Amino acid sequence: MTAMNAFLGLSPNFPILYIIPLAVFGPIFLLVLYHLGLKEIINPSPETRANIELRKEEEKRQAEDHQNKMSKAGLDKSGYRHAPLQWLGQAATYVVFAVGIAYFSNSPAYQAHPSDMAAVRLSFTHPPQRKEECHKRTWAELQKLAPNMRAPMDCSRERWPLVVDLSIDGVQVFHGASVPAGQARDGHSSFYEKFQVSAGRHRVVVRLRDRGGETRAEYDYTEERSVDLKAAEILVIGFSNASARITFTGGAE
Amino acid sequence: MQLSVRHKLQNGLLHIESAFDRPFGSAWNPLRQMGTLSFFYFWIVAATGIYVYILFDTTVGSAYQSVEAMTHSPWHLNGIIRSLHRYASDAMVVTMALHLSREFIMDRYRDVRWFTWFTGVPIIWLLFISGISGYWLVWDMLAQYVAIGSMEWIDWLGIFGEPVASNFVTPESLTDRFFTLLVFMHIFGPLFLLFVMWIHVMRVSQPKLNPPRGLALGSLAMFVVLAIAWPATSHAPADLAVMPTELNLDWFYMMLYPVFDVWGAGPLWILGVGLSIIVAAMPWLPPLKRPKPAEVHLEKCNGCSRCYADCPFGAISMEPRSDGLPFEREAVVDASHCTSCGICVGSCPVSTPFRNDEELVTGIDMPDFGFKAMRGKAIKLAEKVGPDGVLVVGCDHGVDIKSITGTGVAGLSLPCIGMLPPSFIDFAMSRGGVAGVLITGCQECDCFARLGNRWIEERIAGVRDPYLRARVDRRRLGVFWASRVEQRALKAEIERFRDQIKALPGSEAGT
Ligand code: HEM
Ligand code: SF4
Ligand code: SF4
Repeated sequence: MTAMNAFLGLSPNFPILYIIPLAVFGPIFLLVLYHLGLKEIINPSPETRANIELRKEEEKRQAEDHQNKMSKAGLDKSGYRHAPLQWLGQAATYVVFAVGIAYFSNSPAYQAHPSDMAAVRLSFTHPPQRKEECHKRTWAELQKLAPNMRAPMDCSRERWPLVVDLSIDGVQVFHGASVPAGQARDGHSSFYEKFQVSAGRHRVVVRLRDRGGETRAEYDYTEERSVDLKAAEILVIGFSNASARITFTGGAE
Repeated sequence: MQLSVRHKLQNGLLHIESAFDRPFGSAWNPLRQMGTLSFFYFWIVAATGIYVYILFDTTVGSAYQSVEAMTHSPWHLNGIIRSLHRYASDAMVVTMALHLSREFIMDRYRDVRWFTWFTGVPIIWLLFISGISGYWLVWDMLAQYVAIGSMEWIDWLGIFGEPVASNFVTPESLTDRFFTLLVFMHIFGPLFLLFVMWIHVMRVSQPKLNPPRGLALGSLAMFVVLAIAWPATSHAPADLAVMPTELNLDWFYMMLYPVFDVWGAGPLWILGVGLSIIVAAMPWLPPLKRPKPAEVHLEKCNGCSRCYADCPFGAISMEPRSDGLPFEREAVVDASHCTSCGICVGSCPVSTPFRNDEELVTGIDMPDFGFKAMRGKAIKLAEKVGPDGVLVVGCDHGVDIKSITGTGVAGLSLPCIGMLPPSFIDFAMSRGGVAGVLITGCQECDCFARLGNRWIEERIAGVRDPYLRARVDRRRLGVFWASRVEQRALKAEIERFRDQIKALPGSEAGT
């Protein structure tokens, strides 16, 4: 988008990519609509106009006739007149309804999060290591495969589950494994967890294992931090795939 | 057992409605207009929504400011529009809930009506999606809470590769592009809602979509006053680095968020989907037993299409003649749409009781309680009450007709008052010899078969075929609508009507 804008000398925020198709197809669309009948609505021919006039008159005549006959039979309700007290009653009903709507549209207040607590949010997406490295198939292995399947390299794309362990002030608050996305389990593993902690200073230790699942004890990444969290403040624990590090956002060191 | 609970609920509701009749009059009674009011509120929301959208900035950075600018606009004008948009949306939740409860209580959802009920279920979801997504756009602390909660709820399904909620983790992670997606949800949600609302009434023949003018103007005035007196405001601007703490939820749309906070996503999904399935399945459980559908007697049908025009459920179609008679068309009943209301019997010009017993076949008739049975019963009743008596013709859904019979008063109850051919009134007076006929049935705008009370009025007045003959003395004919619980009012009317007849010249007391 920006290249196009620069080329045309427009500000980079100008939505030129949306406007060009609109400018081209819009008029064509309108033209087609015009000939399909919009013409008769915007600019009716004298005939149509006369017809509309006639139809209106006929409708009016019928409505009047309808009302006359109904009222002659004593069944016409359009003559019903509300008494002053009735209007008052209606107004009272509207007041009750309106107050009800106004009240419940923002009351009673709800405490979505205790006001003296801070929060920790664990959120990241990271592809764990492959379960098996690619290996060159031996001749014996190749013979076992159908002739059209005999690729020299055997690459299982499946990845290990990602294991995350979080402790705060020496207490383990979370330990979990996330299976990679995808049918073949070859995608990213994601975590999204939230915790409440008291406001104040906390020692946070995050450990992450992206190889071996629960079959290993040691972790591949560890990050430890002492953070000071104000009330309602959120500490976000993430993982930067670019720098291959666990990251902390929010809270004072 | 189950029936009697429903019956009690119905009576309770009818009493409440009767109370609302007093200030509003029956034609404006809001409790009978919840569907049409929902439609009307939708139009208010749509119109104000377009206005608000023009002033709205769809980027994360400026959305909040653009909404604030509306609220604090000169003359308060934009703020009023914003408030109208909010309050009419809130009101829609109320009117929808009352509408659906009423259809349920009054047993107007089973059998043939399943389609309308069934398509109501997605409406509930779409209304909530529309309303909730609207609150995201304000991008204040409430928006933050509701958006994150919604996304966490959706993430439980695991249909997206990565959690959608992670878009809201830090201020940097929320992009304008994602925010635009939220804006689109709030545009397409309501559009889709309108589409399903249209489908909802598609099978209703001659649906009533607009409320009476008095209610429309009344509620519009109410919204405007409310918007001026109590303008809608925002919370503090969203800040993804902190948790929203104390919030003023819009409980109409957000009552489930606190539940979500306590229960978590899984149980809430089970509740939402489970309840929807149960509600959607309700038309079939327990099945409704109803009389057999209408039947066409081709040898008597002349293809005039009056029954086709009157059937409130679109159950009749006019098709090319199949029996060689020299008419162009014939009536055909689709049993799966027919509620056995009998209204078509009252529409058919062949339904005239001035004939011999053997010839009493009409163009379209009800197999269980048909035209012939109706005539036989009317004759017996007329004999019973004698020449000074009054024949009250009512319906099975209004005041129990048995309860009002007494000396000089006999009652005939039909499945729907619309089943009465006007010639019957003439017949009861001229052949049956009764002194007067009083027509009653469900309250105005509340005919169980939707249109029966309207059609009979129009037939009597001579604006709808078949007409009541001019020779019928209109002073001896009364029309009085009363719901099942308004028995006393009906009895009083019968007394008044009898006095009116007695005072007429030619009657015994009058001479
Ligand atoms: C905003 C939401 C809704 C609107 C605007 C709406 C509107 C309407 C309207 C205009 C009618 C036709 C009235 C008539 O002419 O007889 C109707 C009928 C009906 N509605 Fe709704 N409706 C809504 C939601 C629902 C919901 C959620 C349900 C139930 C789950 C529901 C159940 C029914 C039923 C069963 C009828 C049939 C009545 C009959 O055939 O006699 N509606 N609705
Ligand atoms: S009985 Fe009622 S629903 Fe059935 S075809 Fe006749 S008018 Fe329609
Ligand atoms: S009203 Fe009677 S005659 Fe006319 S189409 Fe219907 S069944 Fe036939």
